[in-house]
Amino acid sequence: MTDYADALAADFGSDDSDSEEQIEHTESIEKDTSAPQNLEQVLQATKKVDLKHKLQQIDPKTMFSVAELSQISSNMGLIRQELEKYADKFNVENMELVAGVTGSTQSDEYMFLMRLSALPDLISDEIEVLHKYVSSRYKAVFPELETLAKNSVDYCRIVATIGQDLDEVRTHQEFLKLIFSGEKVLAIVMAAIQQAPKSRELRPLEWTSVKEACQAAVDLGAFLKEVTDFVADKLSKYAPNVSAIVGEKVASQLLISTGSLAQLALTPSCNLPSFGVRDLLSQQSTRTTHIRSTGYLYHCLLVCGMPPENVKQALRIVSGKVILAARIDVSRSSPGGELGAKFRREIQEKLDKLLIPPDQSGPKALPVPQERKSKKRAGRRLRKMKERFNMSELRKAQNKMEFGKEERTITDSFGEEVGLGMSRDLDAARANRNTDARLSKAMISRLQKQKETDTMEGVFAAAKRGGTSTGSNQPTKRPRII
Amino acid sequence: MSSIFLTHLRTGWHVDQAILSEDQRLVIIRFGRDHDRTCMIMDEVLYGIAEKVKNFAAIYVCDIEQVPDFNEMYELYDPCTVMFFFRNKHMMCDFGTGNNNKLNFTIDNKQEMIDIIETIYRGATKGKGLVASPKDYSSARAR
Repeated sequence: MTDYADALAADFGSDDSDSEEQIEHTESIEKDTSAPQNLEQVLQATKKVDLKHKLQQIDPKTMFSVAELSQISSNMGLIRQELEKYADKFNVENMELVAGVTGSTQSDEYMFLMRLSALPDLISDEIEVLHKYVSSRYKAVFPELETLAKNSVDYCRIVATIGQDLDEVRTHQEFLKLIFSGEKVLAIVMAAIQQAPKSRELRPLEWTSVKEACQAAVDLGAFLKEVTDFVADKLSKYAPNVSAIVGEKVASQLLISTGSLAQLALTPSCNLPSFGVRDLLSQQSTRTTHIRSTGYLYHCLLVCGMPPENVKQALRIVSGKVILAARIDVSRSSPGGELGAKFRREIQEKLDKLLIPPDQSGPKALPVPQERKSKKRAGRRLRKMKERFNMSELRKAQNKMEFGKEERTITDSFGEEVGLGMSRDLDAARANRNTDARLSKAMISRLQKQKETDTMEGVFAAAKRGGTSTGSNQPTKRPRII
Repeated sequence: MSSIFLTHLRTGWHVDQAILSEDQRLVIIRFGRDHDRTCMIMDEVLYGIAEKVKNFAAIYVCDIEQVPDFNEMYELYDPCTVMFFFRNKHMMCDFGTGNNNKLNFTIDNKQEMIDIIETIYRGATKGKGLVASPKDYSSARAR
């Protein structure tokens, strides 16, 4: 490994292509000596190679073989075997696994899944490298295709199908329609026909290597789907409620990024949207919207269809419920995922409400200006009302103090000392009577009536001896006297 | 451009009918030319408040070139003139400009316009022929 690092440093210093080839040579030797035997070694071997370095090295002058660009494509068979081996195990020991997750010790299968979870990232990186390689060559033939087909795998598939004969592109229209919509196909075909006279033929050797790389990229794409499906399928069993909300794939991604279900349950919901935000090196670096967290949750079905202005709120709603669901999963109170389904429905309702446009009501018309009589500011009634809020004689006396004498005080229930002033000298009769509770005439007569009916009912009840008497305050119909 | 949203009175007969037909509401007619700058500003304001004051005022627009019948009678020589009528009666308002018959300067504030309309409506319902404007416009010039 140290040799490799030295060689790398030397390479950075010089642009000589000879030294580059040398490095590749040493690298391939190193790989040959340690042929990977299991998944772990594959992962280790792949991780060793710096992707950034690889991307930088791809320039039109040098030639690569597919094996140099991608470690995983050569080891696909091996990984598939391991997958099959564990696939059976999972079905049998599912319950045991669930138990294993919550405990401190994690089962072998769980560890395998976790290790496997690193694979999709590596695969997509390798696809990226292959794409870069293919596009750097194919540019001479059809430069516009790169902008027309953004997806790396699609690009490689199209390159492999169209080949170098751009005049014959029409014959592949049916194939293109499987990948793109009608207009896009038309755009590609038109661009290809326009490019045909200008395009350059690649050398046969070069073309075969490009074709090989395309095939490898397509294979890797299929394999990537296989692996993610496998991981999603297995991992989502640990968290039935979470996967009921965000789907199996996102649920497994969240589990992987946190490490375990118990960890996911402990995560604050505000952190959830930032899980899985890809770094700048990755293919999704060009962002047009201003959404900060384009992580796993952003790509779940609930959120990704939302308009940009609602995405932030949708993310908040979903992440809150996901954490709740994760806690439910930890407690294993709903193993069938019913609560998760219920949460999902709630979220769906909330999101639907978010999408309803605000009602379009025009400006409200002003009321017709009407001249009203001004309210009375004087008179007997107003005077009486004011008197009710007057300071009473007693209170006035309390505020006065006799000169040269100590004031008598009492302590109220809050422990405050209250001075009594000269209020002791007054009669209680001189206290303000205006503040007493008062009844309107109508109320007095109504009460009178009520009292009458009550006494009548009482009389009848007594006469009936235990007959039903209504306890309501409403005046009831009088029973007839026989 | 707001003038296209306001009701245009195409002939002298239309103007008469507009003033005669309203029983409960104030009738406000803007006399001028649609393409005139001051008229455009005024129309913008009038269109902006038309929906708000619809309970007590109806707003119309009349082109003085298309309908020259009133030019002499109402002395419509300014680029933009707004006149108020209530139950077939011409309402006067003291803006402080010296001309109480009409509003011949631009008001570019919607609330001020609403206040004027309200004041005139109040006076009109009380049977007054002349009301005082809520704000003094003696400094305002016909632009």
